Amino acid sequence: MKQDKIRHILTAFVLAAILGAVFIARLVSTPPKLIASERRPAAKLEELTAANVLSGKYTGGFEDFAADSFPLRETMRKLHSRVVFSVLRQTDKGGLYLGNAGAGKFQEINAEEYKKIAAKIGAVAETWLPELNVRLCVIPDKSVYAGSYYPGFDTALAERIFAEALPDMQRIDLSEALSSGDFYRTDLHWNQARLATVMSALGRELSGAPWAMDGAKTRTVGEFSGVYPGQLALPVAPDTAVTVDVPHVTAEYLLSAGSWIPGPVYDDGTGTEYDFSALYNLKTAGEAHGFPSIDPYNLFLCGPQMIVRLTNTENAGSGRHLYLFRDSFSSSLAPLIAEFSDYETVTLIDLRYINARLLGEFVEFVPGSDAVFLYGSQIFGDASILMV
Amino acid sequence: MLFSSVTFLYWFLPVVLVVYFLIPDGRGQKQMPRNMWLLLSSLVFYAWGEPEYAILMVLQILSGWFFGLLIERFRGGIGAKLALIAALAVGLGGLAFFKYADFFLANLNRLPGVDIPLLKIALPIGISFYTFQALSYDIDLYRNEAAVQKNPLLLATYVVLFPQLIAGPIVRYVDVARELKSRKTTLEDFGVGARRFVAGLAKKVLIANTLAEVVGIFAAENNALAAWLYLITYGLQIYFDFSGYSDMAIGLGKILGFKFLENFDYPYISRSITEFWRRWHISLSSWFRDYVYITLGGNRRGAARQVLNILVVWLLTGFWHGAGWNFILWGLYFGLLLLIEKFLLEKPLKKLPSALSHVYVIALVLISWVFFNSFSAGEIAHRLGLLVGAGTGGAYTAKTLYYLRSYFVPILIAIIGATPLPKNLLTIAENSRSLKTALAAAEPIAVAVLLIAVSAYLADGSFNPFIYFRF
Repeated sequence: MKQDKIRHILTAFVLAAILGAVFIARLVSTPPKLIASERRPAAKLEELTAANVLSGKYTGGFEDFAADSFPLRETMRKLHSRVVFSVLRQTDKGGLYLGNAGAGKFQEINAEEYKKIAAKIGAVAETWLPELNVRLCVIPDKSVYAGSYYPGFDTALAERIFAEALPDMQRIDLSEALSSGDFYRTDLHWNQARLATVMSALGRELSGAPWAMDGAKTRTVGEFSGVYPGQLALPVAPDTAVTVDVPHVTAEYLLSAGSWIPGPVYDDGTGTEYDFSALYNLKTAGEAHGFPSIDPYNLFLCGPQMIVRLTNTENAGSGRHLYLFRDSFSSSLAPLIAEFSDYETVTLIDLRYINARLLGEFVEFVPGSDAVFLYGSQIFGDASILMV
Repeated sequence: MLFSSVTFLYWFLPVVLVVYFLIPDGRGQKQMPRNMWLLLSSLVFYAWGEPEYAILMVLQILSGWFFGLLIERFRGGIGAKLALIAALAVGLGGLAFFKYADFFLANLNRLPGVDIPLLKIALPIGISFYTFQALSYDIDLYRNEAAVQKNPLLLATYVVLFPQLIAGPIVRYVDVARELKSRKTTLEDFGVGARRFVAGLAKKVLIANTLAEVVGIFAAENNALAAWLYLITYGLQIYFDFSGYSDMAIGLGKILGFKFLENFDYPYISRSITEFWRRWHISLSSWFRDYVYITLGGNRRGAARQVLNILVVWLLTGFWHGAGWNFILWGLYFGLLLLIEKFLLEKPLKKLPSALSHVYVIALVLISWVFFNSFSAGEIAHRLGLLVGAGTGGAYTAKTLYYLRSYFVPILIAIIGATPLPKNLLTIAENSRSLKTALAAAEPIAVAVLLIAVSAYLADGSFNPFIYFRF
């Protein structure tokens, strides 16, 4: 009886101590403004007014605020991940996993999204590219090379849908050109310094011969920690950011006003005078919340941009032009194409940031040129992201 | 507000407990300050999520209180009966309007030439639970099984008591009337309640919410293995979700000095459907038994009437869970199974080997979740077809196997946790002289570990409402 009593009293103290400790820690701590590990602003409380309380607006957002301002939240997130992976032995946490090839995230996509994307690509090709050689290329997700099966992008299903919806559009298969080591261990993106085989494959499709990168010089920029360690809340050793020198390539960025200005191919943040962040770079959002940089991958072509034009001064007069309808993967690939192919210009168009209706105002599509819709599988998760 | 939220655990609960225990304990009127604090905090708890519907709840309580006074005033006469009818009309009328109006209108609209616009009223959280609690007070009073409560604030405290307000157990007034006047809170009871509360919290956050992640995935698959896994994981999820909530309610009640009746008793170990319903949502089954089945005559008016009574009770039980034909079908499914057991299978089931009778119950209960969680006849047919391999995905797919592998440990923990094995092991330890000392240290540590793990999930944004909130 005595031992039972002691046990119950100790249990009472444990509950009281934990509730009390967190309550007091919460009172004395300042709620964060940003959640650096997840690269997002912290949830904020709505203003405490009668209207907000009665409408449920104040209370509705309170739980997000309470969770974001939880004392030692990062430690708690790590503990959560430990329980998921080590105790419950789950192989992913909301699609995030940690495998031999580093961290990754798979995303399941339903057939309707593939169909919608295919329809949008078809519409753009029909409107703007009737006299161009158009191809479609889906970059396989890194989970394909993770060594274990993960649900996600369904290559066979996508192929069936694309074949039906876009029967005349040639497709480029990169699945054999990539391996697990070609991606950053901490990020979804591929590593620019490892794209030689991809360049070969694309060269064969677009120029009839591999684009060789022999003798390319590289430069180490520094540590590169991608999006996944923060999302996973698990320690993953950082990658190294390496850029391939592209001495003959110059970049121009389309500003929202419609004028082109020159800018860097690689923005490593070391004294460049160019800063597009105030206009349309995601850095705008990051800086607004106090981030120095929201994503290290913005190193390549200054991150998200509407339209970027790369020009190879050595290829002037070749008359060859490439139009890349792209997502972030092309930011690191396009400089290589511009440097090591015979294209005079490579124009990158990101339909997530510019509506397809406006393309005619900013881009001249030269008949007989090449156009490639080159997308990572993530883009297929939500067709509405493409402004078509 | 939800128990399984940072808001409740680390903002609301500490304040409520500190103030509650700072108020001196006492009997009768001296208990009033604590009761009023509970009433106030319970109203905040409810209004946090649905401020506008707090008024509806208060009106329902006032109605129950007012008609209770009339029942007492006219006891034994026609006036008492009329007052009870009025109480039922107001209580059930409110429930019918807010929960079932669109169901009735949608079905009326199926008639040729009828096209009444739907009301599209949001379901007030917990209305089914607090309505039944308030009604039980008036019915018990009419039956002379409870004493009248003249103080509306005390009656309100009973109905809105936050531990059991939103998802039960359905506590009857007679069961807490004495504790409202006089109750004892001790540090030991606090500890016992804390253990129960944290266990329920862990059942909800660590098991039910984890299973919820995979339930939807299996539901969307089109193969036989996924169809069965969907039913297994959903059956476990709903059990851990709902019984976890009941554990939390009972634990919080214990901390505050109330003793709520058990609501679950390991239903999945039952050897018959009749036994299953003695172990599943006990407070609801006993409510319908006492207030509907027995009122209709129970088994006292011949076999034919008994069959009718059972079917009526189970139709209503199904309908209580939701305004949809699937819930009515689900209730009638169990009604029919209970009738078959009562009149045909009672003896054969007793002779059946234990393993077979468990398989019998689990298979039938799992199939019941098809009705429960499908929203059209087509979906029911599709899901039943998948179980026998009629899906286009064949027996299984790589994706189904992936998720089975990924969630194997949580599923296994849930299966073991749904049996009395953990409880039996604890009992053995409690009764063993050598293990008892170890248990004295292990239990508080286990409670701390579980609470911290739950907090980690919640701080990381693993928020998920309770399934039974929609009923």
